[in-house]
Amino acid sequence: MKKITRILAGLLPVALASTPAFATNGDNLIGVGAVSRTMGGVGIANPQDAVSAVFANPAAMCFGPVCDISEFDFEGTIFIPKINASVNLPGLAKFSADSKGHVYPIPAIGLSIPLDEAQRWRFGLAAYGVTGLGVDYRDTSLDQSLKTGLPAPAPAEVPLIAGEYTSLQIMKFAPSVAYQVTDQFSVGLAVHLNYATLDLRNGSSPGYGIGVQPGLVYRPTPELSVGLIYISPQSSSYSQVVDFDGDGHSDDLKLAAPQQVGLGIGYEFFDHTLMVEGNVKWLNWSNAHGYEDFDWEDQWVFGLGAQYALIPGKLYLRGGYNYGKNPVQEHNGWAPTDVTTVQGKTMPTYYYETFRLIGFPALLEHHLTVGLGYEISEVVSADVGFMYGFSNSMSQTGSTPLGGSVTMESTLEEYGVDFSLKFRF
Amino acid sequence: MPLPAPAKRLTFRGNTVRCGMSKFVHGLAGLLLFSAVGAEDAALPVSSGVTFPAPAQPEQRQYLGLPAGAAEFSLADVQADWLVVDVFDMYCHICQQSAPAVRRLYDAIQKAGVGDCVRFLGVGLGDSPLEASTYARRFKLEFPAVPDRAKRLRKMFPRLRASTLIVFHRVGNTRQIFIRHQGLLRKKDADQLAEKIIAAARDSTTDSDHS
Repeated sequence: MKKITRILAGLLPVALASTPAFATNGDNLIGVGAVSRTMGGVGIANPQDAVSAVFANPAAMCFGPVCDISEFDFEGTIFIPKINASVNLPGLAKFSADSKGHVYPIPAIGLSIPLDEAQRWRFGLAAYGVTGLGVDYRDTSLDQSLKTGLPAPAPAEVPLIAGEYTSLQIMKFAPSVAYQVTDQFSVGLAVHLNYATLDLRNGSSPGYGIGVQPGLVYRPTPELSVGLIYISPQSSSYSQVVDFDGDGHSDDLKLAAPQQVGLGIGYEFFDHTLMVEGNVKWLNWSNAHGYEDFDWEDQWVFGLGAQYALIPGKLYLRGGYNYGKNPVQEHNGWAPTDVTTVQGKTMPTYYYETFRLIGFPALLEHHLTVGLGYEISEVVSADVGFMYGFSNSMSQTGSTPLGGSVTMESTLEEYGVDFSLKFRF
Repeated sequence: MPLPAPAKRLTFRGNTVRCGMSKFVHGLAGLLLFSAVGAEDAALPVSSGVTFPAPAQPEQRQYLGLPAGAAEFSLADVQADWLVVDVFDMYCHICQQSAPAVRRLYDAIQKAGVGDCVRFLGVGLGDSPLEASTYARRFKLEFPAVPDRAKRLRKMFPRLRASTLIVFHRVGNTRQIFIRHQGLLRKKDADQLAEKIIAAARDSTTDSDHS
């Protein structure tokens, strides 16, 4: 018990050190942990470590490679996003800039331990920065005002865009429990406790959310594994984050992580030297607070991953692919005087569009991942990996509030490096 | 496939093997040794302090060379120079995945004609009698599988996990570890283990002939 207490105490600093992260499947990382992430984000059916099990499917804690002992994972992801946006006023000017900020560390910790002598009950805990979105165009050519040329009481200047600075950081604690009902079937439940901050250039505002993730795993044969999960919506409210309607008072914004349903199927070929898993997830953005207001559509995310034992029991090669269609819907043709209402606050549609496209460019669709795992000893193993999110752009054409035509565009590309150390005891 | 007859001294001619202890066996075990966990386990003498419930079926008791009325037995009581212990747990999916390879190893030993001096025993670590017998039946183990509900085997091996295969060789009144395999046992692993066990069993028999 003392060993467990020390480990749990070690989780707190990780939990409190949240950092900006960037979009991969909409607002979510494709997976958590070096093993899952280097396999296209899979793990619902056959996760290979504690962090993947707790995050992807808590029921799978009973079926991991170390199902009869305890495991503690320390994980890290280094995110390197490349974001660019432009606003083109034909015949007048084109403004373009790269978002600032280059390298973002995202730590994660996972723990999975048996709770009873028979080892049919397991407890898990993971803490990680799982979602995040942010751009920083402050002090760039996009962060400026345009002269209106209009007489008073009209404003003399108006901002070129809204959403020039956005920062959504979420840290998640997920205590979980799993029970092995039979030797082929297990169930699990994780509770998601979220602490987040949202900063829209008006100071950081905290928000708290809670949700649940039930899951089950069924292994009809020693080679085949099927997993199913559900994640409930997790809503957070952020106070006084930005003045949406220009009345001089900062407004609140409610954002919710969407409900999700996921299915995974894994199979081990060639005498268990090759493990292949496919996952499909449905993310219900269109019913999630905030995202429904910004017209995100539901996403179907497909992940395919493989792990090959180059040297069985010692060296593993991993690879994967993940695809989720960009949830940000394209809008075109709004008029200069059009307005949009977001959670009761009305704003010019032009600023609504810059805010959603330039401020929250969750555009990535295709991801390629590779990695290696090495068993240093019976109790320690290490993993490294690399993720590339293929560049994707979206542009929209409409009108500025001043009446002229405008084309705005955002482009997102990502690199990620993952590593982990695992300890078994 | 019926269980082999109890171990006895048979002259090696073709498929029959003479089983017996050899004064050179200790050095031979060290020479042929490999272990997944390190040399210290291999050199550890194993005493007969831990007991298991004796199998109910007479043919399984006979296979292990146990007396008819014995309620419990220890590893040292098994009447064979070589003992392969398959440590499993019914709920351990790694064990389930290893079961075909364990059967393959068993079959290779019988086919090589050393089944009389190499015996197999399954131990269900943490399993009840029903769980151990269910595992044996589901995965078609052709050798006795006994429950170890209280995990007594961990008194001998504190870090012992399910999905472990241990090959013991009798040295004097104790059993010394010859090979220990931890984790998933693949068919290739089973073939390699079979090769080493068969060679060691035959070599120890040859030494007995010469001594």
